[in-house]
Amino acid sequence: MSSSTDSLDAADRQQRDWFGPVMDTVLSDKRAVVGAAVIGSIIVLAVFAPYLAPTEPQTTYDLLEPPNSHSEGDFDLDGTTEEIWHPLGTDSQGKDILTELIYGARISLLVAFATVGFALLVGTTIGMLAGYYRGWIDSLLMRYIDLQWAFPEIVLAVAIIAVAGGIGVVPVIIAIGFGFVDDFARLVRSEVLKTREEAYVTAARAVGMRPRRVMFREILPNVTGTILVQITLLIPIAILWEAGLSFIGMGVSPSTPTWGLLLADGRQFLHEAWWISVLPGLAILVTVLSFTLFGEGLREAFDVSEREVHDR
Amino acid sequence: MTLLEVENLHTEFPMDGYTIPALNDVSLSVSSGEIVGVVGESGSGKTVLAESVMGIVEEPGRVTDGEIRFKGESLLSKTESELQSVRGSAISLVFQDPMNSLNPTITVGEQVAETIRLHQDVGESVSLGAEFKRKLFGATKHSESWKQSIEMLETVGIPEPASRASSYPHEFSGGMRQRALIAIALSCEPDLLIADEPTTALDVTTQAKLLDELEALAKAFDTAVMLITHDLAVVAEICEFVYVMYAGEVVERAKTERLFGQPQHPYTVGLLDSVPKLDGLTELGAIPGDVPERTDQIGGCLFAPRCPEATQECQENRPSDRNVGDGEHSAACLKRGKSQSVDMVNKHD
Repeated sequence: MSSSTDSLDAADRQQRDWFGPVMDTVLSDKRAVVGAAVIGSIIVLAVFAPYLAPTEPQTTYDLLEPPNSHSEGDFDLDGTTEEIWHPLGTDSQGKDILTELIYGARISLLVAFATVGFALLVGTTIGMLAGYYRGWIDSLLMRYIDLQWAFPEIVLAVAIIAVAGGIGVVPVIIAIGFGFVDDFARLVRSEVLKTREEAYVTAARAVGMRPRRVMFREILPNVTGTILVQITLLIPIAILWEAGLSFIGMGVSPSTPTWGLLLADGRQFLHEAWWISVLPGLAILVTVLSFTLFGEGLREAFDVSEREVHDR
Repeated sequence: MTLLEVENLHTEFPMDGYTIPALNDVSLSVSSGEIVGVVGESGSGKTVLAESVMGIVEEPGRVTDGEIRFKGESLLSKTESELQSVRGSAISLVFQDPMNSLNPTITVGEQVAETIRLHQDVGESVSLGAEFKRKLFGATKHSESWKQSIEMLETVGIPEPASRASSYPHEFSGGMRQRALIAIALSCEPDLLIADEPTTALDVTTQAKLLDELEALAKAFDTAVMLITHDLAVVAEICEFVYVMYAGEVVERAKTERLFGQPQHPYTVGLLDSVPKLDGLTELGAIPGDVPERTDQIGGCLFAPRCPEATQECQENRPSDRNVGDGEHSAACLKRGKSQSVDMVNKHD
């Protein structure tokens, strides 16, 4: 093959999918790269928590040790005394804060991804049906969404946790996810309303495709970009919600380390041991900020008009 | 054999407080293997006619009266799922907008293959799950439908179909996209192809080439074509029979040579006059006024407000089809021929 066809092929391949250009734009945005890097590290920390955490999550050491201190004692019960370094100190029960933060990332991310996933599934379905069928189906579904939107989310979340039979991971996921259903439903509906008027949707119906097929094979892929951006923008909010629910004692069980629980725990020792509250607060801040930066970068990448400005 | 028969079709769009009759008492017929032209200005109801036949008129529009028979069977009494198996396999539609009629997120080859899978039993599941699996594992390219899709793309004249099939629509030129759309439409060897302004978005040279190809393909596949266009040159080129539509009604029907030789309805005469001629002598004719707002309640002939020959009689009485010349030529004009009782629709097969 001649070199000219090679370069043609390369250009062809580069142009072939949307993924390339979108990634190019995201990578040229420094904030988005920083965001992605931090998110990546947090995910690695959460996944490999048992290997990366300096101590066991349930082991207790000296109480209220400040950051960069040491505990001495026989903590692994092997008859010898060892010295344990606490880079971020210990909490009121003597647990290592760095360990708790690393394990806490698991819950925070799990809840965040699961809630957004739940809302994505339910909200996208509602929005898709409403936008595609319009008419009374649209009115019915969107009035429900209005109703939910008008209801204070915190009250809704607490009510769902109460109905779901107490605290735990699943009730929390449903409670927070429920509050996000309307965000997806509205967005997807508006995008579907726009996309269903495209000639290729009519063409799909004209070759005899059934509505379900038209919705999920023809329309959905054309709405993916917008949905993806919405996901990255809702994940930080979900993390905040989870922390908030944990803080008021409605989160996952009190024995599981979460950032919100740690924050609440440290509140009463704020004068003596500021690090118990401040450090999980910082963890929440950094995570939320990273997701927001990455989401912004992604949003700009999908926004064609802004992409053109970038190119110039 | 008569393939498609449309009888006294009415399609209406109810709006807030009033109704727009997009099609008013339209009758036409298409025989197997025949190429029939439907000509008219924008807003004359051509596209609604195509959508009515396919049963895909957008809400709130609906067919309120009349009959559409395909191979003798009523399409209007078929259920939605029965219609879905007719669409794309027995009757297919080529749209006027090649730029937007292909899904930008699916490769061209896959869009052809999908239609083949939907309508022909090539032993491949068309459930959504199966489709996603195929896409995920890249199995598409080894499937029977993909092979047929490449053959089809080759048939419609796409160069290097095997490699172009994995291109996305934005990598195709306008003419190639229109060819791809024709490939989709012909992939299941339909009996009737409805082509709605298939060449409007293309430049003149591509247009002529594509029309020739369309004609040849229709012959090769033994497919009847209902060609919807505003372009009389296109009609003159390939159609055997022509229906002229105005404001949702068929105002004149005739064999092509006869229509161009002896146009009867003043509207047809006006249309023919508004085609530029190269003799440098004739002034370009234009039909004064616009297609009437269909909310206006016009008692008489719909064309009367723009007609040079209109009299008081035309303002008051709605003309029906009149025989003008041989049995196949009729025009809905009070000034022409004699009123006829014979239904012209079934006459020309």
